[in-house]
Amino acid sequence: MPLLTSGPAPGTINPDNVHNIMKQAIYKHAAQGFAPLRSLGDRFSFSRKQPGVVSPARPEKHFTVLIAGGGVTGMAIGYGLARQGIDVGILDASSKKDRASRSNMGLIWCQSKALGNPDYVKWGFLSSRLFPDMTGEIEELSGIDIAYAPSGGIIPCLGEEDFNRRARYIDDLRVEAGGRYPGEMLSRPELAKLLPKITFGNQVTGGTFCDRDGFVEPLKLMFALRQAMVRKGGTFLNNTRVTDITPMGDTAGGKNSGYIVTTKDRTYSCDRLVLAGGLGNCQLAGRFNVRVPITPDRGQVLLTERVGNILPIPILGITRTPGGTIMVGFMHENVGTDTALVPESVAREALWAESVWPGIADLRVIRCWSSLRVMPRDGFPIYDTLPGHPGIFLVNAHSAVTLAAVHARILPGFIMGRDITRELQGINLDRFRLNRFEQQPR
Amino acid sequence: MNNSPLVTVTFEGTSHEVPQGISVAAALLGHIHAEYTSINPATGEHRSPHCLMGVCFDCLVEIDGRPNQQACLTPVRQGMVIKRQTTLVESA
Repeated sequence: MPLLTSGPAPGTINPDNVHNIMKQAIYKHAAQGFAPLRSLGDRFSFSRKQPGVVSPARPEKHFTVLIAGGGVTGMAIGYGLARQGIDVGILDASSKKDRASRSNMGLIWCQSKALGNPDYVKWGFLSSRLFPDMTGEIEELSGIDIAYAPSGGIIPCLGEEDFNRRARYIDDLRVEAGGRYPGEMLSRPELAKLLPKITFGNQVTGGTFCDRDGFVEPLKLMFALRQAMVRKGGTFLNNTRVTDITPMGDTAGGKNSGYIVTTKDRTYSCDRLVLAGGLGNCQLAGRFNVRVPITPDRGQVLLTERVGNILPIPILGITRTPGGTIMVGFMHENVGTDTALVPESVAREALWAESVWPGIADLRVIRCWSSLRVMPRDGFPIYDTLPGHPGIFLVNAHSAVTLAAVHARILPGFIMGRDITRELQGINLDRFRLNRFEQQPR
Repeated sequence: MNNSPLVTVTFEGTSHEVPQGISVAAALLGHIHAEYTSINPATGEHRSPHCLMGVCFDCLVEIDGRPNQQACLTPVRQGMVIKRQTTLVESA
């Protein structure tokens, strides 16, 4: 009985044979009028899966909204949607490498930033205002204490010039805000009064204080949001790295007919899709020929031994965690996806911390690490539908913790269809308009 | 270990004979039965050596007058004076 009616006999495969088989196949295809080269690849199982060409498996579950990304941002949005009774699922790839939450100081920080973008300034302060209420809700639903502390925050100034520059910046923010701005310059003695248990370095001339800033334990925040979302009927789909996104129907003229989302092992469908994958959004949106204007932003962090509560108000760059350790870090390194720990960078941070607070030099360093965060090209968050895809909503923010409360309370409205380009002009894709048209397929 | 030479260390003012070459953490747990070796400055909880490999920093003790020593990474020495680390850093 012949085992094979055509093709090479077992054990006789060699490059010449493969070449002959290819040649025969090409002749055959030529005889049939040259089918696409792709089908030649399929014939020999060489095909590389092309998004949208190979039809995805039948979805096993449909959601009103699917969120790609289960970090602090994805969870906050998921909780916010579930809270409104919307059927939401969160897809999470569980990447150990890229979690920005790993090098997060847990600061809720509104003050002294984003001059020139009043929409974003207001957005941050709004989140700070909504934080206590959201905290109460998710702590009750989840049973997790997220260590929320509306402590206010301090930015120290080293030398006269630094102090004057900071004062001018706050003045400009105040003018931009129409006269009132919740942040003020403090003299060195006033600063010392706020933090009586530490002694500031000789160079510290004063600093800023803003009572809207605060602190939260970022990983607890993430888990509490997840639990609260599940309690409100949302679905957390663990270990589901998104491998493909396919429109369910015609998208011509910006029509939304829903999406099929393929993950490593399973397939889901949804009416609306939120891309909250941090740096992973580049690949996800790249599927639709949109280049997201974000870059990896490497941080270097060092952690000291535990101390008593000597730093009840965080200093920007020096924070006492609820566990009692002191975390130091302020680097923003634009080095691609390299996660190397750089001793020189950590040493720079340590020297700066010592100049602000000499006593910290006596504390033992117990750990250092580095991690990649998300940095939009101009530093401001990005919220928008993808060009040509009103059913896909893009979310990228550097300050995921600060903005968690607006992501939970306000953003769901925009995701469900409110026009963000009209209301939040400073934080949608329009500001990159030139780029947007460059990237958009014609 | 039964035939190992012994060294004498002091824990909280009491002398103990422990095998030479073991870590301070092993001596505290297996020979001195220290119950707890430090108080967590953030929570006030009693702590004792946990990971035994230099990672968790729950075994910090005072050795020969120096605070913040990792008991699990420090071998015992003849005449060593070990104290619980109970002082909170209350200012710096």
